[in-house]
Amino acid sequence: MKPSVVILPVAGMTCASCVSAVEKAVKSLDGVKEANANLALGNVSIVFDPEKVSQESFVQKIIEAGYQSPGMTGEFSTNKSSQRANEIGDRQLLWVYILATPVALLGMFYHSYSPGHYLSFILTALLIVFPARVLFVRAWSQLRHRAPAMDLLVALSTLTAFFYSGITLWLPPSGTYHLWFETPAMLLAFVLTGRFLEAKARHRSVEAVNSLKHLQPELITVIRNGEHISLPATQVAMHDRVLIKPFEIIPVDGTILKGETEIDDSTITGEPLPKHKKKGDFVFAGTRNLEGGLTVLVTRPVGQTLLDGIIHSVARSLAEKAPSQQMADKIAGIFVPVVLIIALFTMTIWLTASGNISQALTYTITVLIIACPCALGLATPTALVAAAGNAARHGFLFRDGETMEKAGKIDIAAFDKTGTLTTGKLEIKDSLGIENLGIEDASVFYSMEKSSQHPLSKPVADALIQVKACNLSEDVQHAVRVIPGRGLSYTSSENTEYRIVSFDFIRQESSLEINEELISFATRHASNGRTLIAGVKDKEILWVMAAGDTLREDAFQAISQLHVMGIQTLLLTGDNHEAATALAHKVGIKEVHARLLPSDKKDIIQSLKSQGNRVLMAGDGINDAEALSSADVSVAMAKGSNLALDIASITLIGEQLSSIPFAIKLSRFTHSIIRQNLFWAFFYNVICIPLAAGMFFPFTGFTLNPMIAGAAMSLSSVIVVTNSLRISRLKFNP
Amino acid sequence: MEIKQLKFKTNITCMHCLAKVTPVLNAIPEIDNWKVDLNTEDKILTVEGEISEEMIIDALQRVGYHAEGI
Repeated sequence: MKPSVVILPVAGMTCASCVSAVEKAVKSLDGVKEANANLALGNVSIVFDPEKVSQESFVQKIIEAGYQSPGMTGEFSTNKSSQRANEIGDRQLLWVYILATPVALLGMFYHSYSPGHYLSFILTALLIVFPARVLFVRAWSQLRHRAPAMDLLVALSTLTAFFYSGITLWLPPSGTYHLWFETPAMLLAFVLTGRFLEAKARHRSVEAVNSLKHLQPELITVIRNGEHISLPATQVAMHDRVLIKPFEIIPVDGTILKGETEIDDSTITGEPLPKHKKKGDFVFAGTRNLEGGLTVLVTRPVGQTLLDGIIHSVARSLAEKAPSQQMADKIAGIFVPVVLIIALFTMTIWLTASGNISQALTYTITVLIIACPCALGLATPTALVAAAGNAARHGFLFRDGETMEKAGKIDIAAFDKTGTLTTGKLEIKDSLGIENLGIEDASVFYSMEKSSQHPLSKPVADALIQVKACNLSEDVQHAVRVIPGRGLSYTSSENTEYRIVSFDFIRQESSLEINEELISFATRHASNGRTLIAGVKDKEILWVMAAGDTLREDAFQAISQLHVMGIQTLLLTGDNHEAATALAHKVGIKEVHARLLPSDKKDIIQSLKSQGNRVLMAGDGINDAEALSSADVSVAMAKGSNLALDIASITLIGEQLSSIPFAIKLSRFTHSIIRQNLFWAFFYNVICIPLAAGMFFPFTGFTLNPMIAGAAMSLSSVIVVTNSLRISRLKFNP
Repeated sequence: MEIKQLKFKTNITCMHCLAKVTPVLNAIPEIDNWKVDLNTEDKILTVEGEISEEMIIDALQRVGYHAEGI
């Protein structure tokens, strides 16, 4: 029996330890060959022997390990409500702010107003118990798995400050005292906002993967033992013969046995111009059959196609992407135990030295409060928020903080051609013979093009009507025949044959006369990577048009700026060598890779990365998805495919290529600001924790009372925020 | 070669045999259509396309089946 694969959604995984706990639980079952849990996608994929073990037992094991699984759904994404159980949603975040804002205002402006203290106590308690609970649940799970991270540090500080202030409020000590409700409330609001944005970005990537699945049709006609039967695409097997009707999406990879057609393979190659395919040619799943019916021999059924390869590769790289919080988590992983040890030391030393329990307790609590990662928590987010604001003003968006940090370290930038360096829209660049057309002939050609869905039909029709006052004839439109893979044909009542065909085809027809002018026109445009279309009446070529893509206005400028910044550029395209080199020459890119499949693009990116380079990839189509998801930083055009947009770490809303060098500049600046901020935050903690522990008290009599601690904390936060604001003033100098 | 219809007596007796010969027959581009009637005693295979008798007999022999033109 062959091993089966099942992907089960799992809810409740919050950290790397959870991932290994789930994997371990499932692997403990007999008959399980492999188990891979995925934190980002919230699922576990299991390879198992269906004769030895059942899917129900997986669910049971997962639940026993302390996580939830609703069972098999067959989808990549999990049951939404269960996956989001441990994440913060829109409404919860709103409640966080409703509760935290009054506490912050009361604490900052009315801290001597005593009824305000009781209100703050109640609001903060509600905040901790209800909307912010998710954070404490995660902190508990980090504690349980002995994997301290940011959540645990935040939970520890906020709870200490809250309980200390609560007890002080109800049992006030003699003398001056300070209440700390605004600190936990604000810190919780801040940290949860970060978590909310992170969760949103993650769900977007899961949805991106699912959206690809819709490219596959549900039912498909298969010929089995001479009979035509309709089957779900998933049941079509290798070596089956399937029928593909015109305008259908091809569900499998295979070889054409019969038929001739034009295939729109822009999903795989990114090129807008359909390709002519005939018997013996290979077709890919996810591409669209535009003209004739086809019989296709399946060589790779659903689940093994090139498109499936893209889906899996995208899902995998999305899952491998480290969350932006990782750096802070690493710091927290060291910081939490260190703070706890210092607190413990403070307690024991003061107890043994002075024997005064209340004094020892005060010092210990001050250490825990002062360790509250306020400035540390502000250092990165404020810089990132300022950078995001600046980016938005200049027409682009960063997906997350990680991108903002990474973009500055890029040393190679790779570009897709069509739709990225160019606008991706086909336009008629030049024509020959249209001016000399008679109105009648022009109208026939115009009506023929108006009846077709081919991507070139509209530009050709537009070019005709711009020069000649063409009339649309319904008789012509009804009588137009598609010559699959070649063009259009129409025979008038006087038996005159009109054809609109690719120039490459009629070149081979010996009966047609092709003069010198035509040949020089054709050669000139073909070397520029343009497509030639001809209008033929009986045996005479009446006109020729050259269609091409338009280069984006600022492409040259963007590329030369990148070169000035010391960044190498290269072109990765599915198009042919001539078109690719012609365009690369125009924009100043020296290195060109043409005729690439989606996976080739990815391989090039990965080999560059393995040589130690940091690679940026800019693209727009599904065909770029694999390359985008494996690059360090990915850039997508706002009008590109949804998949590219969902994966992209930078989206160019204004579709301006010169935003790319600016994004890198902005990122470099942001990174240096973050480093300065972290220095200040650490500096503050390094100075204040020993003070709070009462280290200098025996020698100088100086200790930190909570008021001074509060002032120091504010000062360090102000320094950090002001420093971050410098980012929003960075200007875009083209 | 012109399009023709050929009939063969075979030993393709069950669904399993059918599954065995399907990939081979499907992969021959010259075959437009083919069908085995499992209900007849001689398990008649009908093939249409630009084909010759030897082509079909050879193809079936490669996967261990026997066919005889009629």
